[in-house]
Amino acid sequence: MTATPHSDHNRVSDPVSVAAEKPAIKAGSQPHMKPAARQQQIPRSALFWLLSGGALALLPHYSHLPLLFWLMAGAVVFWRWQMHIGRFAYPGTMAKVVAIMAVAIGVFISFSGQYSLESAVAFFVATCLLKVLEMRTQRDGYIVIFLCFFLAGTGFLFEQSLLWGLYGLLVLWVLMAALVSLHLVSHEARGVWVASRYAFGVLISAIPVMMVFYLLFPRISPLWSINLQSEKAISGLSEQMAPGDIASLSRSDELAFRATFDDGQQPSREQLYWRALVLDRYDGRTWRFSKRDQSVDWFPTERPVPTGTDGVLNYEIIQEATGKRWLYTLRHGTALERGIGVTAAGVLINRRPVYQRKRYQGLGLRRELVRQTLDSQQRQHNLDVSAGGNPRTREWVAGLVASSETPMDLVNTLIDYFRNQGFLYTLKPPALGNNDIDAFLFDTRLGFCAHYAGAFVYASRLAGIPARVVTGYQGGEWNEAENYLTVRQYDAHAWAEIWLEGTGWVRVDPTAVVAPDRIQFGLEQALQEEGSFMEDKLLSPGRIRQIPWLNRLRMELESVNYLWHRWVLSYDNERQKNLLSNILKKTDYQQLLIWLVGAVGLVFLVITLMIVWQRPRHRASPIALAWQQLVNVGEQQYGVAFQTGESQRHYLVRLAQVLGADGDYLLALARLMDFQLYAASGQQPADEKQLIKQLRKSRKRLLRQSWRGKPRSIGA
Amino acid sequence: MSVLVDRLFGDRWQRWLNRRLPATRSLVLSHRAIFIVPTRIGLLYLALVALLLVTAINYQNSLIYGMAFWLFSVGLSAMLLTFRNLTGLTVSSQEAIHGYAGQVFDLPLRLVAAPRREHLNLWLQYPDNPGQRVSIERGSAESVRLSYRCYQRGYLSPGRVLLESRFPLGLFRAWSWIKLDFSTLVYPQPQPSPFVFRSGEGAGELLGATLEVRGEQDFRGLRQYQPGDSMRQIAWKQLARGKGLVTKDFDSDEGASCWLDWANTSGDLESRLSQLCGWVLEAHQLGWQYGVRLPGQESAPEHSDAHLGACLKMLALYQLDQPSESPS
Repeated sequence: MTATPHSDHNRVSDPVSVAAEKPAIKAGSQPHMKPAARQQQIPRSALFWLLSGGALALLPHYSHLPLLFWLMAGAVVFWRWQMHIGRFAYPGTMAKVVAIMAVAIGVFISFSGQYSLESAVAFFVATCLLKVLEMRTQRDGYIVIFLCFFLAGTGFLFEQSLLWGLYGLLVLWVLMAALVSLHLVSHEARGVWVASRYAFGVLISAIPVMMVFYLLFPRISPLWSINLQSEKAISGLSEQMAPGDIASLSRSDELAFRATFDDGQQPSREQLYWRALVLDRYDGRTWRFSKRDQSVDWFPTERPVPTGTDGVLNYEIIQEATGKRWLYTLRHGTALERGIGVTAAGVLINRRPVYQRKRYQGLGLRRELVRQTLDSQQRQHNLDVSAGGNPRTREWVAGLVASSETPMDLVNTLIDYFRNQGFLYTLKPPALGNNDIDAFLFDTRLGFCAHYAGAFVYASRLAGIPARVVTGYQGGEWNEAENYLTVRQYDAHAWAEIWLEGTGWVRVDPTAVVAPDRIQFGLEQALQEEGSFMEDKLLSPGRIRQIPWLNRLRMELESVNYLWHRWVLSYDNERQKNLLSNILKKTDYQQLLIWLVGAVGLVFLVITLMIVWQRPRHRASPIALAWQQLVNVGEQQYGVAFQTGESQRHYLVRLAQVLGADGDYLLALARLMDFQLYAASGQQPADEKQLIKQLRKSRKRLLRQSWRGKPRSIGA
Repeated sequence: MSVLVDRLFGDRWQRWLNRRLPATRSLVLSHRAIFIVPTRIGLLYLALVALLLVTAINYQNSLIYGMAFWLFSVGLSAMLLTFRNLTGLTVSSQEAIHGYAGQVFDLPLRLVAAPRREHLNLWLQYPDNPGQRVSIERGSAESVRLSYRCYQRGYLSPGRVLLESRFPLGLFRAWSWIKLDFSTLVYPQPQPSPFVFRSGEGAGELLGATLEVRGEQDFRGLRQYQPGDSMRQIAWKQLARGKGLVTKDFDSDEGASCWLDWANTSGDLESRLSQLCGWVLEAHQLGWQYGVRLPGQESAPEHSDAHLGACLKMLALYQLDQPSESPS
């Protein structure tokens, strides 16, 4: 064995360790390529994908990012593109420090140091922008893409509608294409096309496993309570009722909740009083709820849940985020799920504020099925009229009490007063003075539900009837195609409940007598004359409803949106259990995990088996095949094996030597092969088919000669 | 990964590789030949998915759940795609030009795509040598010339070539170590040194008209080209006039004739061969008739390109019993 330095050249190991063994050789050789030195630059086509992916991932944050960020993003993209085409230089250390300082100050000023979901996301966005600016190598490219993926994910915290969901697909595709294009050799012209094709393929092929995970992965409750919540103002009921609150809600067509009923039937509109808050404290101006009522009966409640009776209405609600704890219930409800309780006033309450869309089951009980009590303290509380002067009202009610025999008579008198004394329903009531109930009842006589409910409860209390204000929603829009009810913010409503001895709390809605259309058909009908329904919106539902085909389209879109909400956005623990118990007859999480692992494992087993069985077939050229067959004969019949590293000519010559004079045809064959295999590119190579023919012929001749007992294995 | 395995198991790893992937002229990459592990970027990607999942759980957000699962599933698909980017690829060695020990050889490799497949962004490299990036389009083939610096004479045996791919997402690294055979000869490194001719019984000296070694030799005439004729003797003018390949025939009978003898060299085996190699090249350059004498074999004096090749081959393979067998 020779003693050259490379005698162990067969040992392939990492370049660094080899270099350490043989420093002398390394020093004298060309600069070597270490893995680290292989760090690629970002290919040209990748930058296009990267920048557009980043911009697309940023867009869902439009609602909360200050203008400053959009200017910054524009500047960064412009700067980075100028670098790309070579007009600007890469930022130096100084420029980077200045940029970081500027961005940090920008974030701090924009959010005035507040710590909220928005400011956290804004800070994250700023980080992404800076990284985009300084990205240079492939590694930077990876980091930017991963940041963008997360940015796109956080976008779903703010926007979740169907359209934004579809938009998310686009973002995923572009970001995936950016990831692929990082791995394309940069000068490839069709890079853009290849990247988009691979991104599409990889996303499509990933759908089955994704679906399995989506359906089967256990939906557990939050790992830790998040203090980082959106500070975006959520329109909805407020915890108090001052004149004007509900009027402002009436201008919003945002979704409040959707409801389906177990029997699939639409209840009559008169039944659809969705209770949210019971307000029983009056300070002369505003109705609030008293903390006294907050003794909550958490699930599982002490009250038995009646089933199968006539007075029970079962429904399911998908409620939009409110940032508050209350839930909605029809009639008197009760808690059916963990984390939900029912207050003494008979409204549902959630253990935590509802920051995310929430789905829950509800139960509406007819009054007869609920045993209600009113102790003396509560009675006292619901009769409290200490605040507020309103001398004319006090005087008027005193007169009514004297002339009425029963509380019911008195209530009817009050209602008749609203009906007969020229009261009008309007969203634009005139301002009221200090004694606002006096002014409303006897002077202006213009108002909406809050005014009527407030005045009625006040008057009832003066008359010695315990009464309280209830706020919530009334009515909603029924979707015929999917059988569900959509309740929007403009369906907000306020009404009264009075306590009748022997009966319990009874709902009284004075608005219903003033504006029957409000209850029968909804706010839009009630305001038809005034024309103030959603008047500041160009494409208001009211205007769309005038055009039949547009309205149909709107309802279709509504249905799709509803399905999206029902099956995608509010797919939770409960729904998962239902689905699994329906399909797999399994509800246990342990079994669920087994199914999950089993399903994924099965997919991989199938793929692995396919790879193992589907061996790439060796498609040798016909010449190589014919040559191999000839060599086989030579080896088996004459014992002349083809040595590795031997030329074909050399082998044939050796074989011919074994055959002696009879082997001359092999030499001719060798010449032919030389021409075929080593003909220079300019020269006309010998005919391929002829060579194959010769090879086969020679093989047959070799075989024949061996049968005739020609000398064997001399050359072995 | 392979570094670690190498350090831990060393020879055993090599022996296992040799059994699993024996040396060939041509190899179709199958699952047996391909190794695959996640890259560091792949682990970072997994962390991203985990982060998304935690966000989804804490905010109870179905869309982020969906995105996390989709990205996770994409990661699994990426493993298969990276694997597929190598499977079915045919790698074969082609003939490289003979050269001298210590020089960089351009080893031509031919990469043929599997039917209806493309293999993008492949990285080919002999360890400790510069590598090369290549993409093979659907249904086509590419030839690459890989640099390999060889220090050992004999049949070129460059060890295993690394064929690596991280395409399409860079989350996984699939690679193969392919051992390809070449029938390329590596001649001893020529060492320029003055000729030493020792007069003796054998014709170990320079004979003939040696003084005019650089002078023109007698031109004898033109004859038909025969394979093996020196390029310098071809009558290019004739070729340019369209008269075909014709060789200028020189009368070299009167040129110098010498024996380049092993016995006249000194040093160890390799340096002796190097000296002889230098002499052979020099003598050929000078147009001499030269023979080479090694212990146990010799090549009679002659002057032709074929003779040069034969002599160099003799030097290259001297005392290498199994020329292409790898020393393992």
